[in-house]
Amino acid sequence: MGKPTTTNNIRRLRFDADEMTQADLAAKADVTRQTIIAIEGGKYSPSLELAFKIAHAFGVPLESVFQYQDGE
Amino acid sequence: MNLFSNYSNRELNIWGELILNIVVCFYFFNGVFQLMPGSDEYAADLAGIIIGVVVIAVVYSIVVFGLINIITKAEAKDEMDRVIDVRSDKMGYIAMSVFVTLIMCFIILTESRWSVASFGISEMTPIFIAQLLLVTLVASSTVKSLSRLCNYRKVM
Repeated sequence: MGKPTTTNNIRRLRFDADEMTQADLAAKADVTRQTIIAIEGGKYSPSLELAFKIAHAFGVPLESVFQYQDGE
Repeated sequence: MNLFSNYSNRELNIWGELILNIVVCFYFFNGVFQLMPGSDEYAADLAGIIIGVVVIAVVYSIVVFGLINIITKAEAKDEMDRVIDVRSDKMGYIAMSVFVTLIMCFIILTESRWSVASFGISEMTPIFIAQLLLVTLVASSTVKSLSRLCNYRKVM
């Protein structure tokens, strides 16, 4: 059994939202650009609150941004 | 300029803290270990070194941290910064615990089994023990800064 992972579609969603920059998304989610880079690269798992903020910034439900894979 | 585009304001500030730690440490311990404990001038010389440390720290902080905050935009801490701070504090705490335990073992062993002279030390004075504890504080602070830098690089 593999390690559970969380994936995200932030890069694609930014592209769909008129090429929204990481800095723009960071400002909307009230975090630094470094945090957005880390989340987008799958190197940092955000808190539930921040995950909702990011989904809200794109105007989509949470599961459209983040997906959980239990590694089975 | 490439350096400043690759590193965030936070990382540059940590580098600044780390370099300040090393500079102050070098200045302080280089001066202190040249003093003769028990001499008449010891307290005055030690006070001079401490004043020197404070002056270096203040001038360095104004110049370096001022420049960093002019060149890169200062940002408020967010949740990832706080998570990294917690992880680094933990590493600093572990390092401090290990160093304090080693100092305690050293003191107990030199009191009970070996002579302090076998370590090239003339006398285990309270001042000497205080300096060992100061080295511990600086070392654990350095471990904390290095851990923060590693954690930031790891998520980038």
